[in-house]
Amino acid sequence: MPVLPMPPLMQNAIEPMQVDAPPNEDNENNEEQQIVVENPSIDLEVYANQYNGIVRLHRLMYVADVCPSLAVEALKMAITYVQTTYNVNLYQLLHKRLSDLNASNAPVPPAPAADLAPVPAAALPDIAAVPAAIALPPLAQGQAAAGEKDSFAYDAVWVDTKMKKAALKLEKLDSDLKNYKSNSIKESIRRGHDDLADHYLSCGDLTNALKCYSRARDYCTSGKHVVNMCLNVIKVSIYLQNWVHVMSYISKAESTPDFAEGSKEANAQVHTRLECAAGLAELQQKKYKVAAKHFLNANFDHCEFPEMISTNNVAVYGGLCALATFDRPELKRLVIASTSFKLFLELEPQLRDIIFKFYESKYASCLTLLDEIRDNLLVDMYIAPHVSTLYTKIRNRALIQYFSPYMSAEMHKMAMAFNSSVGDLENEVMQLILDGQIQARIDSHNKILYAKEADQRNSTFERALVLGKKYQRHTRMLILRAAMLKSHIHVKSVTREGGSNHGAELCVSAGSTTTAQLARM
Amino acid sequence: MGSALENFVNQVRTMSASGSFRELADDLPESVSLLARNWSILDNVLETLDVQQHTLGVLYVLLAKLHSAATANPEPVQIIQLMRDFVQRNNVEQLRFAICAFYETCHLFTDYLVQKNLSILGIKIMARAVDQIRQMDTQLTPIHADLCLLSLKAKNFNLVLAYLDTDITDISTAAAECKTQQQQQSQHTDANNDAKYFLLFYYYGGMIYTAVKNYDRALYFFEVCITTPAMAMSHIMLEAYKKFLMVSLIVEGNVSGSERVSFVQTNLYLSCLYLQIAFIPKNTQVIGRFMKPMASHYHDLVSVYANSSSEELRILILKYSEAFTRDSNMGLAKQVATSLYKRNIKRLTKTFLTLSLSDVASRVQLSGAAEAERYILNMIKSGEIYASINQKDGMVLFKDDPEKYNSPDMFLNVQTNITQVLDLVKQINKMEEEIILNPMYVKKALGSQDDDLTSQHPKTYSGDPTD
Amino acid sequence: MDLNMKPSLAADEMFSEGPGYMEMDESGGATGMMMDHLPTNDKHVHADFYNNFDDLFDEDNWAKVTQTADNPKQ
Repeated sequence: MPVLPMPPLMQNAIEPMQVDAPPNEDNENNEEQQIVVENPSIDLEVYANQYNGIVRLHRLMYVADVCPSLAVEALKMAITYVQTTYNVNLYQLLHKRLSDLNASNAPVPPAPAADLAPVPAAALPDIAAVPAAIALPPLAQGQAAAGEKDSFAYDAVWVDTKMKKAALKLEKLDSDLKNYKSNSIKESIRRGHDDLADHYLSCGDLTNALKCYSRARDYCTSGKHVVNMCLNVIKVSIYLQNWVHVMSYISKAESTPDFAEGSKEANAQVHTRLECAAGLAELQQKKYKVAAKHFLNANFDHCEFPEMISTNNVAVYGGLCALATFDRPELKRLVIASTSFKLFLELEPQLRDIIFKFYESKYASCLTLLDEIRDNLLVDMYIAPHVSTLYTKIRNRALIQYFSPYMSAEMHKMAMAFNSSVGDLENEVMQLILDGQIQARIDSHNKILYAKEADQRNSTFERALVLGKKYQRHTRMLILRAAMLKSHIHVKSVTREGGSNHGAELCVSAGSTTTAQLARM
Repeated sequence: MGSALENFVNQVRTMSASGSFRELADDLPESVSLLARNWSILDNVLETLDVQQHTLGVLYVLLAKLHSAATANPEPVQIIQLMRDFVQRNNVEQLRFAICAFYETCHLFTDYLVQKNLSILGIKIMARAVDQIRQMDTQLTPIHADLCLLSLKAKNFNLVLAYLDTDITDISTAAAECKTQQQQQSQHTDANNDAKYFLLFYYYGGMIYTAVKNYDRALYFFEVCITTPAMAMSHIMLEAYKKFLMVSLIVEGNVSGSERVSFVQTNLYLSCLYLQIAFIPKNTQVIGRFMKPMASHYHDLVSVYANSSSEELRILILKYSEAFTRDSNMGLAKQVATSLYKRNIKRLTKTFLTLSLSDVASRVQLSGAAEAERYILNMIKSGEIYASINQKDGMVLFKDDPEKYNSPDMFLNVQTNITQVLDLVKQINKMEEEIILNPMYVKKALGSQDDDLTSQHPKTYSGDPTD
Repeated sequence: MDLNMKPSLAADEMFSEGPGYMEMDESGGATGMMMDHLPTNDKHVHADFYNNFDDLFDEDNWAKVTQTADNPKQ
């Protein structure tokens, strides 16, 4: 039973994106979180429609977080969408965000809003705070006056009825489940748990959803049910960003006997779903090469899970990770020549061009294109934290590949090919040489990079001598150590008062035999 | 001369004459307080004894003289002369009956010289004392530490280096000597003295090697010191630890655990018993709990060094200069700073064929082309890098190591190394054989088999007569 | 070495005299736990060793480096 360190229900809705990502996880993430995206060229509506359920809400909220120009639109879309669910807390939160945003955007807020706007943030998620939240309409009306439609006004009645409905439904599902349990019909109990979990999910209570999905495990009667349970747990764990959990349930699903033996056609969708989940989990854990391989295993015809990931995502995540980590033959064999991944790449023509330009060694245009899609990547909550790392890896790979056929290369030309100055290039190349990624030396005087052939014979001699010296050192220490043990050389802890036999008045560090005697005379 | 002293002299003379050295050695410790009380007339006693014939008697008079030195305030020249005479003319066979007293005499003598600032006069005497008393060249004695101390104080390392260069395979301790000689071991309550002189030898030795810039060997000595098994924190180990960190930076540029890791390889050659020995630090706990917090400045130094920024390092050293000076480690800290400049220049040689002096200066944070030139010239001279400087355009041309591993000299060098390794392997094999043939070991090894197998084959394996 | 320290422990099987490394492993563990209970002062030994030397390693540079930096001809 997964136990997640979270109080139920209320907590989940506060900041869904921060649930499992502590703010100071590492520098890279922090850096990315501070990034403000200026000019993304995405159609938000098309973007959002790729997803449903809580993923759509999370993604819209991420856009609102990092991209000021799309923030209002994103929040409104989220509000419209959240009304199709039972997630009342999130509805309130989104409204709070929207009103905060409008307040900061409008230099002179309307008079009524000035009185009522400072709703204490802490009070929001609390049910008791609903009255305070009800006080919002005047603000929303203020916006309406500014030409907005009323559909984005805070709807207290909706909140009220939705909460009641949610409670009623919960009660019903609960009592259904109790009934099933008293009748001990396994299949009904399993479904009962799943239904309850679905409802919790709709309410945005991820912890309880996870609990209920997991509880279904005890009532599975077929391998198919087990796989289904795993898929549910994986889904919610992704929402909670618990990647370790995701990975462990993927392997549980894969090791279910029925699944391994079942027909390919029937399993293709599950397979692809698991590959995508694994890709996502590995990506978040910075294992880019493994992530790329998982995404590349996805089957385009069975890649339909809007509650998790879009086909475009698979193309972008897989393509970028592959570009950053694959060598040339791998890139050719696993990406460019892959008939199945080709279909994914068709969805992202820019990325396809980037990969082809890279493979054709047209690095300047490849890097330019990469720069162009950067902003669009940065509004994507899963890839954004990794963009700068992946870009550096791609650039380094390009530098290495560029130089690989040459005995010497003009750095002026090279700099041109990489949209960079000679000075910057020199530093970049220097780092790569120090890391052992390029075997070369820089003629800084003439700005030429020369390949350096490693003399295997010399380096073997060198290594052998070093190793021999090390061996001698260690063996000598070992022999000494044997002698130490034989003579019982070790520092004891002296806890008694015995230190007094030091005859300090006679000498600094007297030996003890006679000193003790002298002390007595 | 009082009658008690006359008795002492008579006892020494008769027992020495009859060759009862064992009994004499057992009796003599009781006379020390008597002798020390009569410090004023000890010279008269000495006149009645001969160093060669009455080695034990003279030894105890010397011991008493050193003990009473604070009160008697003798002429240093006389004490030194007596010691010199003693180590040159004594009878080693007799001396072996009172090794502990001899060790103690040497410790006191060393302390006396250090106090009087006459260390240089004791080096030869202590070297001779070591030569006399050690059973073999590779045996370490407690008085090795005295020899090192005198050499360090005198800043004279000619003599001591031969002793440090010899790898130790056996250790003589006061505890073991006194036990065999039945000399009131109950009074050896300071159980840590043997560990102390052992640690001091490796600490002082490490300092001497550092002073003569044999950093590899210095690191080895400090490492022995800090990996000595310990259940308490020794201040000697703490100081060794500080120096170990700094010398590590100078030698390797970091403080790696690699030394310890590769012990696993060594173990392939060893019996299971040595396997247990080989995993060195039992005292990581002591280092972690007591030494690390007390050496935090030095840890900061290590972590800043890792950033490769000489400027940051310089600022840190200035910031901690008081602490480093207090520990007499400021000179070492400066060497650490120099080593970072050098290390960064070495990195440049790996990446550049040519580079202007001013670029060198800016990349390694030296003040300018002139300083860069000075560093590079020094490094070329000492063979640390291979390069030439073109003064006309201020360019440095970095070259590869000209060593091609095809000269007779190199062949000889490789040959020597192989021989050394094989000798060590032989030595280990011999040690293993000794263990396997040790009756206690055989008993233990078979004994445990008995326990496992008695139920099945009681007759075959059990040597128990009650069976 | 204090042989009376742990009389109850079996003599080491390898080296005929006194306790050996095996016993040390154990006592290492035992004192390890004890360490938490004891005042730290009891755990420090050899505080009186002679360490009063001049800085033996300060023969070169630092001062010289900074001086000659201003004055390139040495």
